[in-house]
Amino acid sequence: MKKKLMALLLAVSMVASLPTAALASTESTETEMAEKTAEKHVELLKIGTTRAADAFNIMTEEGSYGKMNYNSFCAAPYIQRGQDGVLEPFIMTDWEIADDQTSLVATFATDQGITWHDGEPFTIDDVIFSLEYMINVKQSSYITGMTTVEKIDDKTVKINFDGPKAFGVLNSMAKFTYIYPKHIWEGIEDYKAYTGEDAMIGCGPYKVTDIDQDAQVVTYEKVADTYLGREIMVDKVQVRSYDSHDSLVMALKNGEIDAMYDYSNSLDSSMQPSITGVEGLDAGMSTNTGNFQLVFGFNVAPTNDLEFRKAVSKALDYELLAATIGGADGEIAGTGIVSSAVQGFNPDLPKNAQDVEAAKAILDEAGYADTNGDGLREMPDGSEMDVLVTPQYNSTRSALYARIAEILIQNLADVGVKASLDEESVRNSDYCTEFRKSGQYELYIGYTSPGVATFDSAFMYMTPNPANPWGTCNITEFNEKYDALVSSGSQEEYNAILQELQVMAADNVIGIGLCWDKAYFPYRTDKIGGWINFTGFGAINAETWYSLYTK
Amino acid sequence: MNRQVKAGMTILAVILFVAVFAPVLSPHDPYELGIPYQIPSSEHILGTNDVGQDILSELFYGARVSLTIGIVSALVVTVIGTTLGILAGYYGGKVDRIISQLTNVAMALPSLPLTIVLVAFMEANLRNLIIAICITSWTSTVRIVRSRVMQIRELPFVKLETTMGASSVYIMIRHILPNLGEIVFVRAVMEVANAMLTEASLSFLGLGVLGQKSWGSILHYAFYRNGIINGYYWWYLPPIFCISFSVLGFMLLGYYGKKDIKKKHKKNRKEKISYA
Repeated sequence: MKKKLMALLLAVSMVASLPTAALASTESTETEMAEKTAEKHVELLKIGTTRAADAFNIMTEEGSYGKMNYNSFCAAPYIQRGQDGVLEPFIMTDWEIADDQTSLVATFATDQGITWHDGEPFTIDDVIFSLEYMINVKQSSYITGMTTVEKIDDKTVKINFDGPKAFGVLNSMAKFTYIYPKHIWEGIEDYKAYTGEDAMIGCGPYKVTDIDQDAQVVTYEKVADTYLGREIMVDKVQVRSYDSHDSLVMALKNGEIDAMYDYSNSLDSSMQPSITGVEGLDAGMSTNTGNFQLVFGFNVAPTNDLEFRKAVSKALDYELLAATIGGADGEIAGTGIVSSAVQGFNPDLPKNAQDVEAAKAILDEAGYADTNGDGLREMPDGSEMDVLVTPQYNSTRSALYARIAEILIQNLADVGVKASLDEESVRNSDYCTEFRKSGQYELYIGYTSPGVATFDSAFMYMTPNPANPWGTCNITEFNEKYDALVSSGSQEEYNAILQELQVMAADNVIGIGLCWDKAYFPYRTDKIGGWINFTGFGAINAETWYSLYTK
Repeated sequence: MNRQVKAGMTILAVILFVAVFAPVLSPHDPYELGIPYQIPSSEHILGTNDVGQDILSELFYGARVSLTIGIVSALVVTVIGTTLGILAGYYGGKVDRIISQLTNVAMALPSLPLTIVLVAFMEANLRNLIIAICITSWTSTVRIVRSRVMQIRELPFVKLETTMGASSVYIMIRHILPNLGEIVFVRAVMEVANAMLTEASLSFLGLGVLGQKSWGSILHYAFYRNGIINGYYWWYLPPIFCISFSVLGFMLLGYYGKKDIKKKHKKNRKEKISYA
């Protein structure tokens, strides 16, 4: 009996202790979790870039500070882009586009305790000031078509456009346009010349805490533990500027930095072997949404002749171009030019293919014959033909552009077309810009950056349009279709029009995609985890601050 | 002829031979495109570059450009430098002051940056490269020649000629110039090496003639297309060797050739004295 009583008492006491034990267990788990989370925070993330630490102005996009802001960093963008390029809310938490696309109503995070980095509260007045400043003072090309802003309440504004452009403008302004502090910038007209220390004040999740211009190192710290309801995992960020990608890669290999960031300026594919197979280093490869392309000048002969353009498209050695531009991972581009990684890519179009005999036949039939027997073809009217190949000026990639030009010239020579390199364009930025603006180029080698590829497409460089007046394509149907693309009302509509444009570009050989390459933004994986490699932009992006953890 | 001179002449003879017979010796057209980054093989002895061009053929053709620029620049610089040096050293006074001041000013300017600026402003072609190199390289020849001429003009035989009424031009050409042979020879040889190095530097920086094969341009692409960081030794080492060996060849010829000439002079004098 005594034994039974003892057993009963023991059982009762055990049952009674269960909730306490459970509670204690929960408490201990929470503590452990909190400790673990704290442990997992990245105390210092070191980023390498080739942009100099020389400009600290929220109004410009210059220097390492300006370019880092593309990642929802110090300056808070209205909206940002996710991994797949889709628009995501940021400081503009919600928006509704009117059916006729001429206005939108947007809600802002003015009630979430966000302050400017100097302590002033962020209000709807800052939103209205910023948009009006962009319209009237900056006359920003990102918001072309935006006309007025009306306050609805302390969280909401109505934005009006001069046509059905609401989606197009939203698309264009994502990640590149920011909220400006009214209390700092009100009354300042020459924003580029303003060099006050408060020019770098933003309301993003990080603020500048130290600038060492001699060492080219800028240090940033998070403004709070959370931002817009998300836990910030990286406590401190150091951005170090290097002279070149070579030195940056060496620093990365040595563990001096954790990751590379250079906006859309990926490592050249020829550096791929040096970052592949290195222990603790991920090459950060992704398909490049941008691409190298050949743009035909429609204002001059013979590139204004469809038959000549067709012959050029058949003459080029696409395998060599892919290997030269994209290295081992390079892919022959499609006839629709646009990269396969872009939303709206048309998969039905064939890849480019070299056919030297077909190119010769097209030229023969079109009247480009060798009439004087020197082995080179003349124009149909018998005059001498010497096609000018103009590579885009690029200080860091001039060797690659020169090589592409060399391949084109050699390939054209193989079908009897004399072509010459526009050397001045390789060496002189001003000349290149002016010549391009003149619209007198014949074969222009250019590059569509991943940003432009996402919301404007490579065709921006081929059609005459407000953002890019030097396009020379004079095919009305194509140009109208492009206008429809930039004023499309939704991503679906945009995708559909882009697909049609690719077909038209292929049929009329408006340009030629020279390669679909990969982007390389390497990062170290031995100490830090949680990297999300955005297609074409790399592992330093708007998600980085929330996804990284210490291993 | 001493061993060093023989070695220098052998090196230069090989390079000259390769340059002259490049079209015959090259296994491939250096502009012919192919498979990129091939390692050395029987088909491509020194492998291929980033656009599949045969590096050995590029080197052979590159010798032509490097040597042409080197020799032509050296000739021009030597003629200008010797002429100005003789004029300054012989006439002295106002002529000397003008030429010396001009030389001092030109020497104060850093030559490579100045050459870079000149090349950047001129159309990139072989002629302009030579002009840019010449504009910045004549000064040291002037100084050395001037000093030597100042010594020679004080010698009795020059004084004697002057007393006998020989014209200045006659004295400079007939008596002073032959006595400068040793200096002019050394300066000319060294100028070839200098000009070749300058051309290589300019081409390496991308300021040479684009599309033209030279040792500097091969290095340019090897560096800027990441051949060095990727360890493609067959791409970047050969042009370095070629530049180094040819400069060595000219150095050997210049330094030791000078000693050789001196020895010959002494020998000739002794022979003359003994005959007397």
